[in-house]
Amino acid sequence: MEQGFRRSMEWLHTWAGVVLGSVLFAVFWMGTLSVFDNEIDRWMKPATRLPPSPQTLSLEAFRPSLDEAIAAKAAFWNIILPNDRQPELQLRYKTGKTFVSHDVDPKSGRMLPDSGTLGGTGFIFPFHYTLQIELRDMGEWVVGLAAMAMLVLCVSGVIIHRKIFAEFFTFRPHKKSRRVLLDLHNLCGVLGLPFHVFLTFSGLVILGATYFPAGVHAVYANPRAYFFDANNLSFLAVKPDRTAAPVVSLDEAATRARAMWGGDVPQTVLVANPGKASSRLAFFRVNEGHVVMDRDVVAFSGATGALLSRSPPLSPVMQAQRFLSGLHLIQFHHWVLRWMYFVLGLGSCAMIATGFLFWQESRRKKQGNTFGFRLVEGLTSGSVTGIILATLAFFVSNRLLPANVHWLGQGRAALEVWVFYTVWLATFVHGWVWPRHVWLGQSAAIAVFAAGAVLLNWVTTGDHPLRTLTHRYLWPVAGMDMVLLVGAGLALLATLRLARRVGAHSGASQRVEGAG
Amino acid sequence: MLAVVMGYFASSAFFTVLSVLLVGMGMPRAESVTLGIMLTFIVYLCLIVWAFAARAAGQPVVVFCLLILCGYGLPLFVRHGG
Amino acid sequence: MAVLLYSAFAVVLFLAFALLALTQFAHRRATGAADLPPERVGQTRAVAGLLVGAVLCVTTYTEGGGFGFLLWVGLVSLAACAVALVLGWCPALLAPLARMMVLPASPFSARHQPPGAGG
Repeated sequence: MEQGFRRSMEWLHTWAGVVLGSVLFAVFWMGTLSVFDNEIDRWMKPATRLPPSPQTLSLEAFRPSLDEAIAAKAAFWNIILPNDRQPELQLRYKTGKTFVSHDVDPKSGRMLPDSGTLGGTGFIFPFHYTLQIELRDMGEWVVGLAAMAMLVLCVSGVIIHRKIFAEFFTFRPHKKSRRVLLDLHNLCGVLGLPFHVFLTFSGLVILGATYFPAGVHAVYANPRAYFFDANNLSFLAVKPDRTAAPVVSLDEAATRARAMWGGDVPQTVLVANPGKASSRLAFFRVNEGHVVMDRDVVAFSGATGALLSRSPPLSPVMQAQRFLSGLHLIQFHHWVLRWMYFVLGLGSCAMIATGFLFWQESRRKKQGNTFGFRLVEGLTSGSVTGIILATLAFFVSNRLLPANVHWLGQGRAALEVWVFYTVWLATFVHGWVWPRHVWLGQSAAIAVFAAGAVLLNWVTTGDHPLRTLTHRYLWPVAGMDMVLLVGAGLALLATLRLARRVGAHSGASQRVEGAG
Repeated sequence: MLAVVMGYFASSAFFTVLSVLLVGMGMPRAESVTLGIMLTFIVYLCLIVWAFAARAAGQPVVVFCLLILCGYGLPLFVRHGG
Repeated sequence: MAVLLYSAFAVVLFLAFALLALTQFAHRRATGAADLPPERVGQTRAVAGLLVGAVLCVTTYTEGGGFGFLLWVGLVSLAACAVALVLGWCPALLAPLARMMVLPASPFSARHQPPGAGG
């Protein structure tokens, strides 16, 4: 029984890993980068590299933008106020299906020029949970399936790992490459296990209502009602009306909200149905000091200023859910933890990659020429080094494309995304057509691209690493440059080692031929 | 494959039953659904592992079918409000 | 100040995991130290467990429940990884600690901080 159980888990681990490993790597890689999404935004939108301002403008200063939204019959209008990860203030409203969004200098109220990029928060973070597949939420379902597979992989991995305690610390870099790969896989897997399980599980819980709509439908009329109820947003569910009514003073309402929070400031100000008698004015409290996402909302009637609702204290169940979503979404401000997430995320990526490589190494001799093996081989390089390379190409194109460029009817932001996909596709083709030197070539390319991105950032914005390191407000840019440089260094090291091994191989085969 | 698909529907059914039961027991609706979501993923995980571990497919299939019947039959009798 | 505190957590966890690892035969042999008597193995593991638990208490005390717990989980993973890497590449670094563990006197008067324990 024991043996049979282990064997079936082995089978499950192998095939779930091989089939969904590429998706998992993409999700973990983009998730790891999303840890620093705001910082990537700073790097990709040089206009928003602003020194922090001690005092901000009053909310009423943005009334012209609100009036603009009212004139455009916007469904909502909101302000996201600056914080220490995001120096600029964001104004956004939605008319019909288009979002109009502006970055604003909080000190002067001046509109910043449009950066023409989706950046970290607009591309990398959504990619993490939708894979940018917009067809009927397909992307979310694929990610959900992969995440479920990740949980299954964790469980089955622990079961098939025979000597989990005896080999807890085992890492033998001097053995054969296959053994080293397995050691690394086990090391990242076992030691990062709490991280993998927590993050995967919380990710699933965040999107749970999407994945299991049946239970929600059993209790609510529609998922939207559940979303509003769970997030204390029921004040938004109003019948639209046509009576025009001006929005009351934003500052006055903000003062009342702050008084209710004991002086805490709002993070987001939302006006729903602006300009109508049924308009709603809501303030969302900052959420930086703790893990639990409290989503504390105070809502007023936009037309009269009457208090409508305030979030009640969280019940234990909701608290558990908010803790899980908080630890996944990392809205809190804690630099040590943030870097730890980044490093552990890279560890997860390493685990997936080494798992793939181990699968190949252990099958290369026996079935190296079968179609399935070739397929997985191409997939692996494309999905591991390929997505890294594509992301770097995304950064490089961000610095290279001129502002306001239009090509084939695509705007600048869309072109960057096209560069990403083109490069990614190219790495798959590379992996299938020339499987022999694919790792060598792609790690060399990574080194070049990463170093190139730093150089281009210097050339196009004048912010070289020395300057960014000495100015506190440029540290996000400095951090990104440093990570890119370290990445370039590691890729270079990998390239050199691979080149030496290839050299030794061809030397050996030549000697064999010579002897023959 | 069978385990994944049937497991999905079985745990989804479990979720339905649980939410309806909890609401029936007087828990606020948002809480019962949220608790249901969290537990459902754990149930789904266990079901998958169990289905793959079982030597013959018979037992899990029977249990899954029972769960599905319960889950999708129950809402026919209990009307949701709202 | 905060940096010192976090480094202290990391060092203590590193020590704890190094102690745990050095109760295992393969790793003791790698450091070239003598074998441990069985009762010492139990003692060492208990002390290492206590250290890991103590760090959890201190982090939750200084950082608050949520942050403290996450910080602890992360640091545990990273410290254990660091121990594994040190044992893989340069086990000699842990040899002094391994030798101290056999001493009859209190082996945990942590005068020795293994180099490379920072993270």
